[in-house]
Amino acid sequence: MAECVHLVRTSSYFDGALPAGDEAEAVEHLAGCDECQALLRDAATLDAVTSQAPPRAQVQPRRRRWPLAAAAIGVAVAAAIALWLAVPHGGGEGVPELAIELPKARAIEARFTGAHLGAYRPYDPLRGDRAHEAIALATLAELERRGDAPDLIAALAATGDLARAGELAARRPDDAAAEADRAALALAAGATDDAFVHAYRAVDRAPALAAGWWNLALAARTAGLWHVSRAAFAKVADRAEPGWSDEARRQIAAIDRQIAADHIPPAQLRARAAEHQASGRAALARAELDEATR
Amino acid sequence: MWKTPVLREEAAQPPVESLDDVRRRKMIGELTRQHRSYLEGLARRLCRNQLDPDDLVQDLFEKTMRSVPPIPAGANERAWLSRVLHNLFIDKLRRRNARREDPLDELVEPPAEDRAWWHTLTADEIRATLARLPEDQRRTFELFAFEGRSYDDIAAALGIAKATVGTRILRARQKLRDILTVERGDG
Repeated sequence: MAECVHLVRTSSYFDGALPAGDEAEAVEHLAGCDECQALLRDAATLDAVTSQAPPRAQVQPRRRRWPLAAAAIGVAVAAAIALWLAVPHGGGEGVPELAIELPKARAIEARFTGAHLGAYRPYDPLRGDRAHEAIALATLAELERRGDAPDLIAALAATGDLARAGELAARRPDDAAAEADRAALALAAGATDDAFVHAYRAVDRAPALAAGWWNLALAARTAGLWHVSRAAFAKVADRAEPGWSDEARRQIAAIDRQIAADHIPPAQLRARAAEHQASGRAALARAELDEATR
Repeated sequence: MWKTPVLREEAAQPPVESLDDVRRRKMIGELTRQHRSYLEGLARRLCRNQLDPDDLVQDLFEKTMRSVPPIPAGANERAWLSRVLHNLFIDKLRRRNARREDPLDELVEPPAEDRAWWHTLTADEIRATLARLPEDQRRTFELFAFEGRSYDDIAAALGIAKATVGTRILRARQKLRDILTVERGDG
C-alpha cells in the first residue's frame, strides 16, 4: 500500500523542523489526510510518554553527552582524512578545523547545552555573572563556521553579548535543549520569571536533560524556593557527571543550611502562588506551589 | 498564560459540592499541576502559527472536567491528554477550514479502535522497543526524543543531511507503532 507522500513533512512539522513558510501548507494537507493525522497522533503520544522518562532510566550517564561529541569527532576525523586524501599535499587549500579554546573557569553560573560550552568548567563565583570570559574571536568564528548554534549562543553569552545570544536562541527550534539555553540566558540577564518558564519547558520536554534541571535549580534558588532548588540540583547530583554533579552536591549542602534558617510556611507560599498565577506569572506560581507541597 | 479553567456551570452552582465533584476537582487540579506545562508546549508544537495554542489547552481541560471519569483508571495520563489534545487540534483545524462554528462535541475521546497499544505505555518500554530498530533510526530517534536535540544538531553530530534526520525519525515512529500495535495492542 502506497503511503502518503507528505508523512515526512507532517512529522517534521510536529518536530518544529519545517521552514515557517511551509507550515501553512502542511496543516492544510493535515486537515484532510487521515494517514497524516494518525501519524501526528502517534507522534504526540510517543512524545508524551518519552517526556516522562526518569533521568535514572537514562542509559549510562556518560553516554548522554559523549555520543554526540564522539560522533562529531568521528565526522571531523573522517572529514580530515577525506580532505587529506583529496588535497594535494604541500599545496593544500583545505580549511582546517580550529580547536575550540576556552578559559578554565566559567563566568556564567547557568548551564548551556552546547557540546563545548556545556562541558563542565568550574564556576568562578568571585567574578560573578557580570564578568565576561575572554573567548577568542577566532573561536567564535569557528563555532559560527561549524553552524554550532548551541555553543555559539553560550559563547556569546559568556563574552557578555547577551543581546546577540538571545537573538540566536530565539531562532532555534522549540526543543528542550533550546529551552534550557533560553533559561540560561534569562538567568544571566537576571530575568528569573523567564528562567522559570524556559527551564520548566525544558524539563517537561526532556526530563533527562541535565541543563534544564540545573537552570531550574538556579531560578528557584534565586527566588528563595529552597526545596524546589534542592530537588532540581539533586537530579544533577544523581547523575554522577564529573564536575557538574560535584558542584550540585555543594549547592545542596549550602541550600540545606538555608532551609534550616529560612522556612516559608506553605500557606504563605500558596497565597503568593495564587497572586502570581492571577498576574500571569504562571511558571513562578508553579514553582511556589511545588515548594509548598515539599 | 493559561489559568485553571472555571466551568460556566460551576459559577452558577449552589455552594455545596458532592463528594464526586470534590474528587474530580482535586484530580483535575493534580493533572493540571503535573502536565500543564508539557501540554502547553505540545499545543504550541501542534499549532505553530496556525491556531491559538492557549485556546486548545483551555478546551482540553474543560472537556476533561466534563468527562466522567476524567481519565480511565490505569491509563498513562499524559499520553491520554495528548491524544485528546491532538483530536481537538484536528477538530479545530477542520472547522477552521470548513468555516463552520459547530460545538466541540466530537473527536474528544481517543478512538476506541486504537487505544490498546499506547494506553499504559511507559518510556522504558519505548526504549526497549527502540533497541530492535535499525541502528541509524534508533540513534537518531533517541537523540531527538530522549536528549531533546534539534534536527540541525543531530544532522551536524551524525554528519547527515537534515532531511535524513526527518526521514529516520518518521521511520522510527512508524516502526515503534507497528511493533507495539502487534505486541501489546488488541486492535
